Amino acid sequence: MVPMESIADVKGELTALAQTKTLDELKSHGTKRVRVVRTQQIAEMISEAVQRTVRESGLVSHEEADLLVEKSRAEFRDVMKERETELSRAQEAVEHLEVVTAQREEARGALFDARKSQQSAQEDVEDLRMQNEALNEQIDAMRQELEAAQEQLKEHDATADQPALGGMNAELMMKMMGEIAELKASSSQAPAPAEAPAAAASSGDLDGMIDKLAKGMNDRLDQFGRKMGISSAVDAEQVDFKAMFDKDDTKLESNMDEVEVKKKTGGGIAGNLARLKKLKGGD
Amino acid sequence: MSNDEHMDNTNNPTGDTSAATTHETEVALGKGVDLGTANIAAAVQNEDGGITVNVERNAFLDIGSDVYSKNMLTKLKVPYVVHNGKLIVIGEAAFELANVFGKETRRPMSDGLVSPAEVDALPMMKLIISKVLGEPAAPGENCYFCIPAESLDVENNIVYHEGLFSSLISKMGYTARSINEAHAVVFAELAEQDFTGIGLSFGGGMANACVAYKSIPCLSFSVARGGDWIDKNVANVLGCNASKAAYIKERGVDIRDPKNREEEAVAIYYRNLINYVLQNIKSRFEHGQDMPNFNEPVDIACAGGTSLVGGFIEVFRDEFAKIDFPIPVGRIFRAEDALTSVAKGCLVAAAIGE
Repeated sequence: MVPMESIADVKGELTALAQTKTLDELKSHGTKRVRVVRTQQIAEMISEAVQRTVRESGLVSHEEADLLVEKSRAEFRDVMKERETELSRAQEAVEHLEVVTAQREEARGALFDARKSQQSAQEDVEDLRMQNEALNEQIDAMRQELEAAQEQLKEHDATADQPALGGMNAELMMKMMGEIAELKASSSQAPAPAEAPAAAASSGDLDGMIDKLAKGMNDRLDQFGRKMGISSAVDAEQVDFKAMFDKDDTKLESNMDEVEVKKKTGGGIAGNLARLKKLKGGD
Repeated sequence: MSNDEHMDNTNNPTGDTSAATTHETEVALGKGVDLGTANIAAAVQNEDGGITVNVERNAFLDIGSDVYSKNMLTKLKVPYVVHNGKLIVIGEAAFELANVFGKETRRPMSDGLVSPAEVDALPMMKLIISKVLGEPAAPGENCYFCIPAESLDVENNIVYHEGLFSSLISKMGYTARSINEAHAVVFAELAEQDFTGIGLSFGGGMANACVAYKSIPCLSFSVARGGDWIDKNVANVLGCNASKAAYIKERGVDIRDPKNREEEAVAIYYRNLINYVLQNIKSRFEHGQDMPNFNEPVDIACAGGTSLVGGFIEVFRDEFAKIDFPIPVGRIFRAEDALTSVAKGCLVAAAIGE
């Protein structure tokens, strides 16, 4: 038998030696009544017996025996406290584990949803990219047609038959303008999902390209019209903004007149002027 | 035009930046003004046969208006004006103060044009322009100011910008005319090449390009990327404000050999800007109509404050070598005085009466 050093050990030994039986099991063995003694009481009795023996043996004085008893009790209390603290910590750890497990499950669910959304957005982006490619091909084809028309126009400009040929080219350009407008309308109607900003940006770029192409053709038509003398556009006079500075004529309080501005000096421009005059045919 | 680097007045041994006095010797008429996003510069011929360029930073900063501040600014000769009850510091001093206090300067121009978002833009620009340009030497003196070309990558309204400054300068007593900014670079830097070649102006708000043949511009365009674009992107990467990024860029970086993370960021965006401009020139030339055939190699002249960074031309040549340029190119160089080249070119136009 292992020597026991404290009441906790006594309890432990008693608990280890004891058998656990249910009331039904006891009944089945014919036991109807049992005497119950708590482990604590047994341990205390043993402790009391030990103390009495120690005192009566004369090996240890009364005072030392009492001190020994008190120390044992104190040690017992400490051990009890430690066990209770450990139990409480274990309980907290179990609760925390439950919370973390629940959070993990929630996060798993959210990740799954996010992955699903991402997949769906990627599919939308892919669709839009393919639409974009198809539209680009159409624009390239139209650009080639435009270049061909411009080539024709150049050739016709070189001859004297401008009015007749110009009319045909203008008709071709008007037709292409109509097609560009339709193309622009169809691209602006294509849905752009909120999760696909890159696709929306490229759609915006596409609109910008179409606008530039349309503007270029407008300018070309207008230029052509002026050549023919049939344009109704009138060059605007340059706007005079002098009135915007009239309110600023009042003198502001300032020290600008007393502060010099930074100056740099450099080589002259006589050489530049001489060359420029020579180019323009002057002396 | 330009992001400023601190200038030194090499002609004045005392280091004093006071104005040169005008003697009785007659000076040729005509002035050129570079209305840049970052700096405004005005060039005039001087009595020594050279040119004098007045430069001021195109920025301002409002500070608390009180007697103490005003007296301090007066004593320190920091230019200020009282406007709408606010004390406003003008020019380079505003940039320095902003860096000290960790604030951003207010800019009358943005992306190469007068800023519609800045309510005080017009009065401030009027003050700065009046200061650098001064009074006309004679009534109706020619004054050429630079304007950017239409941008390829943003919608911009050059007409308003041009009309506004034409009116402002005319109101000062000049005969105001405009000239494309990169075309001015051709006038300033490609005289020996008979004004044939490519002029590039890398300014604060924009980069302008002009392909010219015997002084006639064949192709002009701009892109809305310049020194400010570099500052903004570097600021995003480094997590600081744009003024701080500008300071990092201007304190002496060599973009061929960046020394730390900050310089690396500056170098990256410089390369991107240069490549972007070259690709656009190539594209416009390939798709443009009525382009002249250059049988002989042409030179490329770079100017503008943004080109002042160390290693710029070397990186430019490096990026140029990577693309298949549609016309033969000879020398690629930076103007001797990149900061004032546009103003000089405007002066040439004014003097010749273009």
